[in-house]
Amino acid sequence: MSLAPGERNLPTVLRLPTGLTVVSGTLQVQVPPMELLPGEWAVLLPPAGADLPEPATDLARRLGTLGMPARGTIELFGSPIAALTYAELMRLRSQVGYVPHRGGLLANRSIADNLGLPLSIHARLGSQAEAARVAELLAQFELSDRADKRPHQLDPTHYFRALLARALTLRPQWLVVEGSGDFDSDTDGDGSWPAICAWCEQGPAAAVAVLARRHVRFEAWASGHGARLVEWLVATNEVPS
Amino acid sequence: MLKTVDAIGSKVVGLVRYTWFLLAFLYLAVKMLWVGRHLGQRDLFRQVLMQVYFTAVQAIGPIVVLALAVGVFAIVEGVGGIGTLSGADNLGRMVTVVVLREVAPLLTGVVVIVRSVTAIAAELGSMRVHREVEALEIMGIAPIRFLVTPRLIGGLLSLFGLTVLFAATALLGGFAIAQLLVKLPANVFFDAVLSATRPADLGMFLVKVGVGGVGLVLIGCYHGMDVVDSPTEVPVAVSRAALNSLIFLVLLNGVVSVANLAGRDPTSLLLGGLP
Repeated sequence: MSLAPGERNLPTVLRLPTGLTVVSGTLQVQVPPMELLPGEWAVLLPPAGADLPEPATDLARRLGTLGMPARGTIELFGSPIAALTYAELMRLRSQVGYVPHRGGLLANRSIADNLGLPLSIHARLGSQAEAARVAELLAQFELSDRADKRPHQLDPTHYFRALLARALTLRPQWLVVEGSGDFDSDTDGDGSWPAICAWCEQGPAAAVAVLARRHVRFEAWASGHGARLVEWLVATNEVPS
Repeated sequence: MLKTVDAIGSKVVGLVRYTWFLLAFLYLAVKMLWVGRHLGQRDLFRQVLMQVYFTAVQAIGPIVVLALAVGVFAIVEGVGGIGTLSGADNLGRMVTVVVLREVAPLLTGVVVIVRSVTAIAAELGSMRVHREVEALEIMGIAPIRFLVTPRLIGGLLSLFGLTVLFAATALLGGFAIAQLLVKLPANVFFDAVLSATRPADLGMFLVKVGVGGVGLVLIGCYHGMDVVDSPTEVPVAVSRAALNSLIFLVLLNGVVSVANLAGRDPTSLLLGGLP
């Protein structure tokens, strides 16, 4: 999936010029310097044998512009996010898709309403165009028969699909996915990860999946589909006395 | 002795800080209306309507029952006590004071606390736990504008509407039911009520309803949004919201009523009957 050399003049989507350190409880998560161009995607993996859901979530949140890292700079579309004002950050976030590992759908709205929310706030396309885009996403993720259901009525597989569909509603250029690393439970063979992969290939987008633990079958599948596998390091957080 | 001073000082500092946070929260909620003006307004409008539906429309039943009971009580007691001693003027004054100025804003506020402030704190707290608030942020939707601002507007409109409904029901319905118990000419009663209603009464009514409507919902929203990530924090947030909003409501009503009395000549209070 890597771009041909001639296409590398595209603006970088994500750049971590000096790497990244994120504090998560008593641990420090360290990510090496990296950059992602449009059309690329990466999988950030914990050290082998570790199961670190909270550090993975904290790392994903920083990459999704929620909160600042302890050390290092996150540049999205060429701008360090620490330098943005709140209003600029909110505008930037309309170009960011984020798929949390648990929760995230608004419980008091139907699935269709959840998908339509970013459109009604940011896109203001008009009711018909919004409904058409929502119907397109529902069909793409095989959720059409669950459009009127509430989030708590979905099983985990459909919930994950709905989160992914909502993250793609505004056609984001930067997609962050939190995953447990359990390839089977995250996809259940339904093609959610292939959808992420396809999104990067077809659009001017880049994506990163942050996993809480390693899964050999997923790593093999992801690297076979062009993902760059990056291992993050874990250290004990030393609090200055 | 020092421990007591310490404890009092700590409480005072805590109260000042809490008030400061609430005011900052209110400032953000109002500011977001301007900052987010380029974002879609349709959803804001929809949320305001939903809040009015949950807070006002669904509370009409309890408010009507309470208002009828208070109206009958005030009128029957007025006729049986003050009315027979001092005439229709003081009956009207008493009903105005009891129903319009004091009881309507207070009881309506209590109903809003029991039904809506607790529900708002529980809903927002639960949204924090389930990462729905975070999901809004990542979609570029300011949670305060999306969750707090419409609830404040809806709460203000609801408390105003419910208090007006309470007062009207207490006066009209209370009078109708009281007719079954005591014979009171309608023109005498309503003339007395209207002539006893002063501009200051309406001013107090508006201050209590306006400040109360915003304050109660603000406290509910603040405690709901104060939940971090544990489900066990939600019931704590709900009970704090209910208790603090009840204290706020009673203090507000007391302070406004006392402020109204403060500027008046004490002899007129004694000789002129009810303030």
